[in-house]
Order: sequence, then structure tokens, then C-alpha cells
Amino acid sequence: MTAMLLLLLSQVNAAPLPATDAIAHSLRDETARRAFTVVLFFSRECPVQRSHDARLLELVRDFASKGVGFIAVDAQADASLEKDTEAVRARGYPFPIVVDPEGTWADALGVRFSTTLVVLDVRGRVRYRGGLDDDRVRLSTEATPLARRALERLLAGQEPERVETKALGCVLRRR
Amino acid sequence: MTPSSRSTFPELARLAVALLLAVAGQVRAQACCAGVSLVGPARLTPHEDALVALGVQASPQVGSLDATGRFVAVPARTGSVDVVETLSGLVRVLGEGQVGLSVPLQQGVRWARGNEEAGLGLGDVTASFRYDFLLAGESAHLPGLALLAGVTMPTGRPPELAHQPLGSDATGAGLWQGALGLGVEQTSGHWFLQGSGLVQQSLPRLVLGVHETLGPTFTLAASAGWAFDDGAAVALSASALAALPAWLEGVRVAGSERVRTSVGLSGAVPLTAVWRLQGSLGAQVPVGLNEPVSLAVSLVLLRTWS
Repeated sequence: MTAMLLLLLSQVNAAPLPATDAIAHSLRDETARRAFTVVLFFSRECPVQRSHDARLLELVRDFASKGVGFIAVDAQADASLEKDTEAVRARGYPFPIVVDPEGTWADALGVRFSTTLVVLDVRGRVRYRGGLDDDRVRLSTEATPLARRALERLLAGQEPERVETKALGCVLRRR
Repeated sequence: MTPSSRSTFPELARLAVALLLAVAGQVRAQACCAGVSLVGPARLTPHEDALVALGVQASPQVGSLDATGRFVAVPARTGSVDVVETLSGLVRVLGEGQVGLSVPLQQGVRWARGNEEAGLGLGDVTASFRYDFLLAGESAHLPGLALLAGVTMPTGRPPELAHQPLGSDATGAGLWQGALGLGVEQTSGHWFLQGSGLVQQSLPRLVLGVHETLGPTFTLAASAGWAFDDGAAVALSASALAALPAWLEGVRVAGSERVRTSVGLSGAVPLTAVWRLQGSLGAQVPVGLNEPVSLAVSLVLLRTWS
């Protein structure tokens, strides 16, 4: 099997969803804009998410300038535009959070746990799916920077060494 | 003493303590199903692929309940303490399935009117299986649902084969037992609630030339707890066990039914990303029939792999 997982975006609900930047976003349109787009499955309550915020911002800072797009999605049943807007402000996220209480993006990308990062290429193919690193709540200096390594290889025109890893976040509460 | 209580005391004492202990078997709002302890002392979190656990528990007996439910305290200068070290392993299979094996080393200390004895030996080994159809917290409307199953093998020394006069070297029930049940659990923020129900049935066995069949045993357990952000968790739990009367040579033994109720307080603390420590305090409340009444304290150290 090649190191790429194929995503058939035609099967995804392409209807734009509201987001915290007051713009409606569709997964198809997001991926079409850049060579690579990172979709973060966000949870307001998950302690693993909270503990990784600084590392996430560091990842955005290092790769947004290289043309990688970032967007988050709240795919939980209690996703709320108001609460997610406040989360973006409080956490200093430089990217919007798409409000998707039906979990259409999670279904399309096969995601069950928050903190999962999915890297899609311009054709909508999943090139990496998994954790930011292999830490949980307690961060260690020995953590493996899984998403960073995957992005570095993709930007270098190579396949990630690990296309799929575990995101050690919380289970997404679905409707 | 009824046939049933004579044959199952070591096993039930161990399982009752494990029932309370396992509440702390899970952290990060994915608390362990208390019922699964009947078929294993721990459980994998959704991200874990395997674990090994080493536990020790001590259970001093404080009395017993007779066939009318009357509590009888342990007489003066008489006592009994069971200590069990258990080595357990769990491996993830079939996605959301878990298979496990628990190997106990059973030690008994008994004393009565100046006579003291101690016994040691392999207890009854238990194989367990759990399958989560839906994880706790995965649905806003439905609780997590799991199938629980287990088989206990007669690898310990049954009471009738004990060499010590007070039976301190009896380490097992001496029969095959199977358990089947369901576990439910749900989370809400830091809170978690769990419940489980199991039916346990043993195969007939020959005891000193007499055919004995224990009645089916039904266990209900519930717990409520709080999971902290750092992975620690505490929980209160309660359980009730009821067993129908035993049969000897095809004749139902009137008054041999058993009832036991227990409460406990459990806690879990992550030591590192892969090591965690669980502990519990438990007590059988003096409400029941034909059962010993014990206190229990336990500690379990777990190493996990993700």
C-alpha cells in the first residue's frame, strides 16, 4: 500500500459550515487552496488539547509561513459558535474553528478522538492522520513530534514515515 | 457452613475486593467498568494496546453472615487474613476488544485459640474478554456499552484438598466458572458513572464423593467518580452479589443461597505516561446471607503500552 490514504471528497458533505471567523468553510474548498491543509479536531474540555495548545501554536507558526493552512473543527455534539469563538480568543488560535455538531468532517476523515490532526493535500488526499506528538496531558521533552515530522517530509516532497499515528486525546462526543 | 460458602470463600473474597479495586482502573474520564473486575482486575483505556499489572490485596475477615442474615463477629483469639498477589496482562484485539489473563498467588493466615497456620499456593487463574460496542462519552445520548465475559479455571487448591486444619492452604474454588455480562458507563465533564451486571455459572464438581452444583450467581455493581485533568481519578462504588441455592446429588440445599453487599473507595494516580498506581479500600457491609464479612485494602501497579 502506498503511504497515502485516499479521501474521496466527493463523498463528503460539501456544504459549508459556520466558523468562528464568520466565514462558511467546506472541507473541499479548504483543501483546494493550498498544497497542504492541517485539520485539527478540537475539544474545549479535553485536557490533552489544553496541554498541547502551546505546541500547536508553535507548529502553526513554523509551517503557516511555508504555505500550510490550518483550520480546526469542533465535531462534538455540543459544538457552539459562541463558545468556540471564545475559545479561539482565549487560546490565541490564529485559525478559525468550524462548528460541526453533526460531525460530518469527523465522519469523512475517520476521526474519533479530539487532538487528531489530519493533513490533506491539494487534491483532498489524507497524507497524515494522528497526533501532534505522542504525549498525553503531561508533556515531556522526549516526545516524538509526529505531525511536525510528517509535514517536513511532505514539504520536501516525500511521504511521511508514519502516515497514521495515535492521537491521545479524548473521545469525540457525537450526536 | 453451607457447601457453597465452603467451596467459594477464597474466590469470592478475591473477586469482591477486585470489584472495588477495578473502579480505578481507568483514568481521564474513561473510568473502568467495575463489573469487569469479575473477569479481570484492570482494563485498557481507548489508546492503550496492552498492560501488565501487579497487585496485592489483603482481606482480614471480621465476621460472617449466617443463613438468616445475622452477623456473627469473629470470635476472640480467632482470625483470618487472605493476601493475594495477582499478575495480570491485557492485550487489545479486534479493535475494541480486550483479552486478559490473571494469575493469583493466594496466601492465607488463620489462627484459632492459640493455633496458627499459614498456607500459600497458586489461586484460580481467570481469562477475560471485554468488547466495547460504544465508548463512554462517545454518544451524547447513549452510555458506553460493553460485553464482559470470563472463565475461571480450577488451578487453585480447593478447600476439601487443603492440608492445614483451618484450611489456610485452600487457594481456589475447585471448579470451572464462566461469567457473562454487560457494562455501561457514561461521562459528563469530569464525572463518570458506571454500572454492570453479570451472571456467573459454575460447572458441577465432585467433592469428597458428593456431586455439588453451585447455583448461578448474579452481580450488580455501580460506581461514580471524578477524573482529574492530570489523569488521576477517585470513585465510590457499591456492589451486590446474589447466588441461588446449591445442589448436592441433585437435591436443592435449602438455606444455601448467598447474598453479599460491598462498598468501596478507589483511586488511581498516573506515575508517568506509562505507569500508574491504583489503590482501594473496601468493606463488605453486614447485609447478606451465608457469606464471610471482610475488609480489604489493595494496591496495583500497572505498566501500559500504547
